[in-house]
Amino acid sequence: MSAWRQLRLVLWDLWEGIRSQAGRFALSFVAIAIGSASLAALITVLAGLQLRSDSLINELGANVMAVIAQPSITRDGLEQRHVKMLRKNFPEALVTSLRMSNAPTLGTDKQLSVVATDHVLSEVRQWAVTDGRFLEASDILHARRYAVITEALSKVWNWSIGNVIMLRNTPFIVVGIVNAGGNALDAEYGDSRLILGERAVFVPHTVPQLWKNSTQAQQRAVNAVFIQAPQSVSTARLLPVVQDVMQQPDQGAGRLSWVTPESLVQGLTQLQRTLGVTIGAVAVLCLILGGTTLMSLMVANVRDRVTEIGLRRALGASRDEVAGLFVLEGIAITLAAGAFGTLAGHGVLLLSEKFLPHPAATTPLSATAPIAVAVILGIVFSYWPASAAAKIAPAEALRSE
Amino acid sequence: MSSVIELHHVGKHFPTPGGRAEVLRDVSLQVGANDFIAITGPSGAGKSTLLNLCAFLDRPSAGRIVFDGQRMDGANESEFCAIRKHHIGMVFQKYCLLPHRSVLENVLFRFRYVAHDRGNAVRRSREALATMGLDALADRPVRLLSGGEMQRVAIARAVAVAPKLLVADEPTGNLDAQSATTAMECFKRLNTELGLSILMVTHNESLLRYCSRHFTCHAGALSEAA
Repeated sequence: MSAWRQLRLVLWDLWEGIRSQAGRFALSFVAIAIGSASLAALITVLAGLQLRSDSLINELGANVMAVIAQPSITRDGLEQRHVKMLRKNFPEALVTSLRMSNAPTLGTDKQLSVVATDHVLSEVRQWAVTDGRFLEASDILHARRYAVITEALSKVWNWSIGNVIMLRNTPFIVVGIVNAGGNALDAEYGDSRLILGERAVFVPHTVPQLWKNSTQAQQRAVNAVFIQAPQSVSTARLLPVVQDVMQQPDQGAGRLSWVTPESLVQGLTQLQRTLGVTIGAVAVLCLILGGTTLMSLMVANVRDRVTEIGLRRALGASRDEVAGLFVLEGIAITLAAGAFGTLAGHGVLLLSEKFLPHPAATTPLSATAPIAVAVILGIVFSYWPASAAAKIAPAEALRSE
Repeated sequence: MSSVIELHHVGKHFPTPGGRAEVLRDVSLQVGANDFIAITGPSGAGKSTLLNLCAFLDRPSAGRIVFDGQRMDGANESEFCAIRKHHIGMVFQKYCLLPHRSVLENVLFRFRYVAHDRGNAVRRSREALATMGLDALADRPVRLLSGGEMQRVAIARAVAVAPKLLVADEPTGNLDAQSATTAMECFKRLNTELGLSILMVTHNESLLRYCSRHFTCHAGALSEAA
């Protein structure tokens, strides 16, 4: 018999079996579909959170920690001397700083974020320079009036390499365009000293025209310091050492907050754990409920179809063929319910995406795992009724009618 | 005359809470080609058990069975299945039809576990239905048929694969006199025209006139009536 013919016979048997017990199969279908939908939703939400965590770490920079000055009236705060001190104490690490201020843009009512920094910033934050170059060491040393703009700024105002922009009545030549990222950090962290914004212009912090109306203390101040630990040292290990150095009484660094990859994703990690336990428990319970419903369905199914089992055996079906029929029915119903539930779970998340605090991410795992789990449940929970069906003596089965 | 099936000193017992129940003891029987054998006897005498052994739905506790010249005492499950698929037709008192399916689909179901091509199976099923005078009802759902028609569908299903032995367990038990006569005429025609060997259990003594041999079963023992 051809495989196609055999498949058609099996499908026909399945359809007849399901049609004869439509109500029971529907009950089982619903329970397993709910379980699969919960599982699909759980996996997509967790995958979304994981992506968000990865984005946050990428945007901060791999193995990078940030030291941010907190406003204080009694302490001096972060200054360039701290950057120098850190470079001296941690020569293997890359240390950079930035100071932010707003400046009006000529001819518009928009404000630009002027980021006074050095040549190391783009390397530490691992930003991609999409055109031209970033600031160089000689630019800092000679206080050149060069500017690097963000990609977004370049697109919005159609600025390109060679353009001259006016900042605080001082002309700066655009020498590069950089992709500074920041979307994930923006949504999660909300601190402008980490994110910088889409409309940022990076200039050498040594250009004196930037600070002409500032006091000496203001000229020395920096808003944030970034430290990239060497590959062999994790930020978690480096953090207490840097804290120890920075918080010496003679440093006068004021109140500082510390951002590491671990602290950045701490909230997300906790959320992942909470969701994993809560939605995971719901999904597991629904799937077990669906499985046990399926099992009771299959037991009743076998009991109601004893004569059919006897007839099949009388017509030459082996025990394995009878058992296979019921296992296949279990697989068919769980496969259909798993696929439907997975689609429904993704569909609901897609429709409610704008109401979610974090975007969900559809992954191959979220599309296949709920179906696979449902099918495994189908096999496990129909196995016992199927083997009970196979053990029914045909003579007894035919007599039972 | 060659035998389709032979039973030699066959015994069958079942375990019960009260001990072993001896259902058949020392039964010997030869069913030859073209035989139409009726077995009568009181309820519980072991008639159906004997039929189940002849249909290879069960195994004897003692003795041996030879089918078509081949000893079956050492046969495994798949060999039993193969004989049931190809060589045994069964008719039951309560028809055992699939109610959701049509007359033709019920007869075609006989080929479910037999390697076949669809066209050939349909042709043979229609021939079997024509033999039973049911060709006009082929597409009708079986639940709409009368009892007599249902039993004839069951007979058509049993003979569609051209078995060597037809085993019928009280095939007229649920039929009125007219339907029983029609069913028995079908059996007789299959026996005489197609040479099919038939082994039938019945309580109805009036049907014995269709049969070529008559056995009685009492307390697990089988004896040929004069």
